[in-house]
Amino acid sequence: MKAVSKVLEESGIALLELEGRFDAYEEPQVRKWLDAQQAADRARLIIDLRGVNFIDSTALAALVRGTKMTREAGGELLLCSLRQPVRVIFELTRLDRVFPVFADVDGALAHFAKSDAAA
Amino acid sequence: MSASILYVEDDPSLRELVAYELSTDGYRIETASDGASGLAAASRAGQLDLILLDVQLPGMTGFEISRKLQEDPRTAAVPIIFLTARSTLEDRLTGFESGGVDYLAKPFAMPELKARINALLRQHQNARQQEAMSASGEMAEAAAIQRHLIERITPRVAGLEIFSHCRPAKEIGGDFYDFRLLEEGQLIFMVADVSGKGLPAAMIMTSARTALRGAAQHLYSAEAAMTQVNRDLYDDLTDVGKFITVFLGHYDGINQHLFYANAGHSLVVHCPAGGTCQIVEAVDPPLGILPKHFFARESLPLAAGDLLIVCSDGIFEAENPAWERVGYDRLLAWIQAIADRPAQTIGKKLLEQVNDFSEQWHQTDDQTLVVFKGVNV
Repeated sequence: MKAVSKVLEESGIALLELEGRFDAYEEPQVRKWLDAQQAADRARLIIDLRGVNFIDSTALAALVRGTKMTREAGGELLLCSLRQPVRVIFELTRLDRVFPVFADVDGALAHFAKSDAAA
Repeated sequence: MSASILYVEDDPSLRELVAYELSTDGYRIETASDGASGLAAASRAGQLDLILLDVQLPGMTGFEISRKLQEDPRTAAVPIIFLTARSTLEDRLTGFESGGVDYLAKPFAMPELKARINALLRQHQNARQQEAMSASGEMAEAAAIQRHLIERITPRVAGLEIFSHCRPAKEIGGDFYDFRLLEEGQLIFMVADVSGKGLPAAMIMTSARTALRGAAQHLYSAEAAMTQVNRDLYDDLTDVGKFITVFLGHYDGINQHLFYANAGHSLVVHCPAGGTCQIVEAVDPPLGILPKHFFARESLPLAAGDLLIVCSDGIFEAENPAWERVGYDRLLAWIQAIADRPAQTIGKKLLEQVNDFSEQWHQTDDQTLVVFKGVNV
């Protein structure tokens, strides 16, 4: 699985773009990325799943951990661009009601911008 | 089975010569001419026993390739021999630091390369056997305990035929199902799946099973039991970074009706007698996600001819060698075709179809299947 990490310097939002199969073998690198963001005090994270065609329970557990970590640090983990097979898994596990999910990165960024404006 | 070697070398004549020599000796060789294709081959390979790396490669050097291989848990334990035209002390130290186990300067004598390969493979195999022997005793015992906990004589309940099956992907896993017969024809059953697999999932499974069995017995309803257990397990699940999907049902044999709570579990399929099979979607997320969640009470009829199937994702995520998955639609079609049969027939036939589909390809996830068929009392 390909993973590309970017940090948006102005807002301090960290973005991770994933492509391929997100399963137990690929989970460690996402876990490492989450730990790295925590170490850098970045609690506003976006994970872009537009390239992900498969996700298993180990991968979901990593995302859940990310959600709990960011919430504790006063931030949020947003997901975007879920493909159909992944969306179905989120719906069946009802994790679609736990993660804020957006159609694309712009939608996720707008969400962070709105919470800035409201603050 | 003969050892499998990956050889990355950009010089085509050297590559062909070494590949030829080693394959005549009975090794299975795969070659690559640069880092990118070498890494791709390594991640595709099922079992790699040794990697031969030329250091001077275009693009990624052998050292860089080796470091990448160390980062991937699948390839980190595979021994690496560097082959190089340069062999200063500095190079050799860099080689060992980046994960290499041995170092051979070019031009090398073929008998020496073969001797070093043999020695490394023998050592690697011995180490693996040692590990397997010391682990296997304890693992075998753990597997026996888990089998004992899971294998229960399927209870007889008036009004229901039941088929149940659970096969872990490794010796032990995170799936389980459980039945408990209460007085007056009431049956409590649960099917659960801890995220992840193998030993870590199994360890969580045992405490979850205890908590769920206790709560289901003492609390009146499935949804109350689920709410309580979620609270009890939330901190532990957060600490170990896992969640559990659970289907907890309470079958009322007198009214032939099923009350249940579903914490993010899939797949659940319900077929009314003579009707269309439908996927029953969960209303609540799995245990360990939301700390103070109240689970919902749901119900479904389970009278004569009605069918309820609860399975774990090892069933519909089963893959064949072409990377195709069984998938929800195909599984639903299989169920629809035999929905009018008895529970045992349905259960056995579905397992047979999953096995046929996956063509005995390696099972990557625990497989649990429970079938309930309503019958005339």
